[in-house]
Amino acid sequence: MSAPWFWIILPMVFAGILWLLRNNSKITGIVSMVLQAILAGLAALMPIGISTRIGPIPVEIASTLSILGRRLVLENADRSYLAFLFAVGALWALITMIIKPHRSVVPLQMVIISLLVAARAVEPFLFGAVLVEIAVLVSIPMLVPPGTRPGRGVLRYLIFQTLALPVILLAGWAFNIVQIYPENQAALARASIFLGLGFAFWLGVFPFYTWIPMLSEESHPVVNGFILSFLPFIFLMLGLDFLNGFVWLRQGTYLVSVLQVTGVLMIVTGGIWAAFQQTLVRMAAYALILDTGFLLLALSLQNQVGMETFAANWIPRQLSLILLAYGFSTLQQHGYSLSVAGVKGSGVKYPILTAAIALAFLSFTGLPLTGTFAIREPILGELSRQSIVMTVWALVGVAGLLVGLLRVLFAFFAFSGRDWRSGENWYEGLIFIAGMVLLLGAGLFPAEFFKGILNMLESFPNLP
Amino acid sequence: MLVIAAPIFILLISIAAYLFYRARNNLGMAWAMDVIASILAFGLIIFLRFRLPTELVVKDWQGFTGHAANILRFQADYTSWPFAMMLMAVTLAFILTAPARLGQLSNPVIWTRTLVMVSFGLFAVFAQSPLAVVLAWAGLDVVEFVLLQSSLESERLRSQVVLSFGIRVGGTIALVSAMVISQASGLPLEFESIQPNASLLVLLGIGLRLGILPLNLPFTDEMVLRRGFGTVLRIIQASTCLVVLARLPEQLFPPVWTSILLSITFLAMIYAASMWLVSSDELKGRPFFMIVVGGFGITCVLLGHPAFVGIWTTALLISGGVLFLSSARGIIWLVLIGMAMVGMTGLPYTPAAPAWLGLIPAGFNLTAISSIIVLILLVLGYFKHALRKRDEVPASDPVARTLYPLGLALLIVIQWGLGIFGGPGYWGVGVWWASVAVSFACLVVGGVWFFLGKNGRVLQPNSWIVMVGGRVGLILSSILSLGWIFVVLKWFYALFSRFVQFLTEVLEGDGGVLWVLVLLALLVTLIQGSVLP
Repeated sequence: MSAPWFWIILPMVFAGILWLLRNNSKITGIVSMVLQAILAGLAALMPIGISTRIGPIPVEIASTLSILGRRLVLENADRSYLAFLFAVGALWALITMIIKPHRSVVPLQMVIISLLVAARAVEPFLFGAVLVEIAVLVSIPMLVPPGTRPGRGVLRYLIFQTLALPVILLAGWAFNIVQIYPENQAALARASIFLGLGFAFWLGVFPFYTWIPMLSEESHPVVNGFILSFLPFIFLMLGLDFLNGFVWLRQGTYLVSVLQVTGVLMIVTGGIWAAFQQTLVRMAAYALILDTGFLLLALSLQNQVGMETFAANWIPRQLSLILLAYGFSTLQQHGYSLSVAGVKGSGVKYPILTAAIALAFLSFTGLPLTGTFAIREPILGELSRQSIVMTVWALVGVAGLLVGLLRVLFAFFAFSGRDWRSGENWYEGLIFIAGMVLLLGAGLFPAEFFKGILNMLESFPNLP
Repeated sequence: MLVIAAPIFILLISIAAYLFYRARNNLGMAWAMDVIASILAFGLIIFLRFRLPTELVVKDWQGFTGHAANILRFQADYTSWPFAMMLMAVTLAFILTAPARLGQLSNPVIWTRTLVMVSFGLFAVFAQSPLAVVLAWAGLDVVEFVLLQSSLESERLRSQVVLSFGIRVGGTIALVSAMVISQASGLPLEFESIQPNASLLVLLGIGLRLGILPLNLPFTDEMVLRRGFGTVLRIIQASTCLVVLARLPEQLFPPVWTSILLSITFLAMIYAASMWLVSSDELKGRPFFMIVVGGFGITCVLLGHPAFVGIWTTALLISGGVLFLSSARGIIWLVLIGMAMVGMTGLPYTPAAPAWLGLIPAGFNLTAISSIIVLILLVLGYFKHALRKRDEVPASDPVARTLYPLGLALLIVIQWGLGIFGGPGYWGVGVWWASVAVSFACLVVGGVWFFLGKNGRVLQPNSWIVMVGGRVGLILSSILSLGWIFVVLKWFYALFSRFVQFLTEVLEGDGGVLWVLVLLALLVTLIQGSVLP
């Protein structure tokens, strides 16, 4: 058996089985969650490409699987990334099972995860873009439930993600030319521009991120959260693969500047726009844009601190996203609309739920006590050595998001009367408290929390 | 670990006391457990005095390779210990006097809330490195926010709590910004050797949290915070900022900046001291009292004498504590109030005496006059509020009758104890003429006012002087309280909101994709022009 069988084919096969069982959301949810948890555990424990023993039985998981002349490669260095990906997937399966957006979501989630893992594993990389496009197309039935029409946000999401495909394919063509004529500066520039543009479309880099708040407003919080949780993760990992693989790309003088300018623009616009939003979901979307900006800034540092903060950032980001998606869905289930005006007084009636939402937003602002503080502080500190102006602008963006959060807090506690009670169900309370404990734990003991995910960087030996 | 033993201990025991109360509904036992927790924590703090300096250091807190790591350090030293001692004294006084306030919403829930806050307050007081300070401040803010939101009833007050939280978080962000910006030179921020580019941000952070730079009073409705809980809360918030001030270096700003900042500080202090004087009772005036105390701390730092911050502020806060915790009066109480007032004046060989050197380091000048005026207003206000009519301690409750004066007396003992054993420079003559001037002015004005009041010759509320004075005071108050800043900010917010809305509609509308491409072209031009060669 090879690694792609476990982490690509097996989830795909199970997705097919779950599709047949999709009328029973509890079964599909439990199976998906358990399978992904097992796959995460397997990735954490089983070496790939190295023979080991399980009791008396010698075992070796090969790293490569060939299909139709293409290779799917998952190496030992990818184990941390796989463990993290499937662990997050298991959490999303749990949330989806509880919220039940619609019956097809769980199997489609499995298909998307499988396709995204394959996108990074496939060689040559050009096929990765095609696999990503298939994953995007598969996500459409998830975003548009049966019997409804797609909104403008879904269409814009589809347009921008699809625009990325030809641009990435053109980048592949340009890369081939660069390999033949490495001194050809025009070819180098062309390859860089195509690649940069492709990733800008994929990631929703400024100014291509308009689809993110639009999609958040139109689609179910859990479905939207899942998409925004996995796509940027895989895109950025693919981006690092490129930087790791091509020395001329990572040593290009323009790379740092482009990453810094776009990163800061995303932080500033994301933060300031968040301050003026009328709905919580749009505010969360802009908070995510701000966070992506910080990820780009981390990469722009081009040193070990940058790389490690980049890797560590995924833990609080994913936790916050899950808490927000689950929190928004639960608020809706309790009869609240997700506008700022619509959640008035919910802080008094559902204190644990709203505390979890507030803490997730606080985490995106990077305030002390949350996991992101330990990450943002070194990023901004290192950035200040390169440019004080950029640092100040980034802080302005953070302040903008904080204003947005204060508006949410005002709304949560706009209530007169002594009605302070915990209206959440026991499992809601349990999940929110667990999420908050994890976020605060990452904020208080970051070194211990982030130790595991830093191993993810072993996949990129050529990067700092 | 010794340094964090007291806060952890007090946290655990208070929660245990609360759980015990919930299980058995035994108020007396819960109170006794809280008293034991406070006494033991108090003992631990006294024990620390013989082990100074004691610290807890986590060197690689973030765990990122190659980062000029910020150290997480909690330290009990001569700077932090007096604040911790003062805080524990106020806490113990609060618990001991609690039975006398049973009719005023004093119950095990409030006691537990207070002790939880004290625990976080002690963490913040012992926080020595900027990283430890921001974490402790954030913890304190979050806990205070949750405790207040869960105890208030009106929407208006809940909004005030959110606003207050926002301003405090703003202060924390200012300090985080200072940490970030100071790394431009490659070194992490240290309070003792702060760089000029970060000093203004540090002062802004502390000023915002103290409510003085710029002046802000988001949570003025003190009555709902009650006498005991509110007092401890205010003192915790003040002491966690003042201890940071006391750690700053002597030369913080260039002289021009110092003059400007001093002017702003004195303006805020005179306003706050006046408001303290004219407040109808000490609880309504309490936030203004805290602003004046904070102002004294900031003034010491601006004048280059941060070492005196601790002496001034611990003495003033303890005196304030005596008044704020006094819910009933009696003969002993009058003596205690008198001693607390003496403790505020800084007369030679009293607890605050050496602190005058921090306010008047260069002889008689404008700073000295301003400081003296502010302190006169503060002591007069104290005197006025002390004379206010109060209840008697219920005669039927022997515990309350015994412990109530004992709790208040403890504060005076600690005030004097800190003066004698607080640390190097805590005992002395100070600037004798300044303290005598304050005492004399207070005696004369206070005596005249007291005499006129006794003979019914105070000004009538409908006299023209009172009416004109009141009107002028109202106008000045509305300008100096800076409430108009919030109105202006709101106006700007609404204006900018329309702009953002317009841009959003353009980018998300039908032609949005085209506009996005135009923006991309603009961005490429920008990067090409400014970044690429």
